[in-house]
Amino acid sequence: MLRARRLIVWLAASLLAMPALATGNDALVFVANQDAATVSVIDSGADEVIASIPVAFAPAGIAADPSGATLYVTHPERGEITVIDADQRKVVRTLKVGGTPFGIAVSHDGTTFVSDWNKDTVTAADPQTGKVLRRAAVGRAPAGVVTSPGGSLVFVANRESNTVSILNATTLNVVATIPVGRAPFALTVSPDGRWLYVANVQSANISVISIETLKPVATVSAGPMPYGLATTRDGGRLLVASQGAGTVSILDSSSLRTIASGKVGRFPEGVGIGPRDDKAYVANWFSGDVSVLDISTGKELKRIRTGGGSRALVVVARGHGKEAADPNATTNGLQP
Amino acid sequence: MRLTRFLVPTLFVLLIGAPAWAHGPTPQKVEESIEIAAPPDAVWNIVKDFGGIANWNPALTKSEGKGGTGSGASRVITLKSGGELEEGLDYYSDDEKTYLYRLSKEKVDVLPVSSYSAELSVKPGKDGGSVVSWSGRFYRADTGNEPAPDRNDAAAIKAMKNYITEGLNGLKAKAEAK
Repeated sequence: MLRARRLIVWLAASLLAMPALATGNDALVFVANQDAATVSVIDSGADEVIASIPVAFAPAGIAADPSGATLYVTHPERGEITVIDADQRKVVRTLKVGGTPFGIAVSHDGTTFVSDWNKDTVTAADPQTGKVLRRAAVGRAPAGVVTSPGGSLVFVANRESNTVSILNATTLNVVATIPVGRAPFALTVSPDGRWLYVANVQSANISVISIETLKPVATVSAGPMPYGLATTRDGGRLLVASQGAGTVSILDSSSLRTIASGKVGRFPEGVGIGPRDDKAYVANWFSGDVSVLDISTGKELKRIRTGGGSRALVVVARGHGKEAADPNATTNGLQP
Repeated sequence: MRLTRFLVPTLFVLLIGAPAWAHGPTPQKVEESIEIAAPPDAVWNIVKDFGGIANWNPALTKSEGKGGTGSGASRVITLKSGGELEEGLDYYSDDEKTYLYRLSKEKVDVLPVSSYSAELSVKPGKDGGSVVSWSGRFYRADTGNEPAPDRNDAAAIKAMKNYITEGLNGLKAKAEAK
């Protein structure tokens, strides 16, 4: 345990390369729509849908590579991952990984980390071929997957085991398994790599875990059925989507107090943060749209029609390659 | 012979009725609504008792509530088939005339759905009447990638739709009865 802890601290410290923020630039929001079988592209300047990319049946999770050039969409019903070119806005290849690929995250070198809902595993897969490079057994029904900002750790929420597994991204060894609340689903890491936040759907709370000590440090009440989580780029705010109440709460990350809350669409799932930390994007699964929220007030600024079953979304910088993507883009798997 | 007749279905249920996980990766949805010629307050008065759903829902023979409409409230409903389901209250608002609840423990032989949450809401309709919406988010009974026809998405959607429609029709009949 002590060795594991030392390893974690070392990994966290040595590889804590924060991606540059896309400050000042507009971004694109890619939204996976389960029922419509599309990925909507929203321009974060005008907050309008500028493209709709047809994909295979029932997309679930979405993640972007660190440059924002490539998007990966899981299809648990088909055992496939769709690869989308962000510039061309079209599907460029399909990775036939088999099983039930669900949550997904992409590391700095482009390796994809994918949870398999029914096989209870996380695999590291080659982004070109989908070939499994390494596989780790985790808890039951692994859902959301995120990586640490530095890329050295992989976190997965084991929905039916009420735990979070922490994996070494290089070896895929399980470094720690930490008990959380009931039915953990979405998770997110603070941009400084110190804190892991986990949304527990059935116990309606958020577990805060110290990545340095591997210990839960706090549990915060949330609205009913918290399904989505995101942290702002400056780390100051934590956003929680409550599917039961149809709201998003905005918490101060230091005090963990709710400072604002706003109504969004029906059954919200994934949450993403705009490029300037001023707006948030929330995928509303039941109403098939995306709410744009003012992060300082919690007020809904706009509702954007996307497509049936909007579930997960990811915010990436325009003009990728120059600016790094949303830190959440590399770390968000499914943010349902 | 008698024993075989009893054992076979029992074994069948035991074999297929216990998936290792509670639900699958792809939720389904059903939403039904009905216009009722009664004011929203009157309709809400009928449905607001979370534990008393059998008073207006003809799909049920019995319902028993625990904890009223407070945090952690629950109810056990008995379907016409005799099967029982326990549901937990997740959100309740008198002001918004809405509540949201969730299946506490799956019983796919009672309803071919492995997990659901559902929302019932009463809104103003035309001519002083009401519109009641009832929507469900749920997963098919067999959450593997090759479900049997009676455990797939279509079967789950059909069961939920029938259940909700019957309930709404019953509510309309009760609310409009003089």
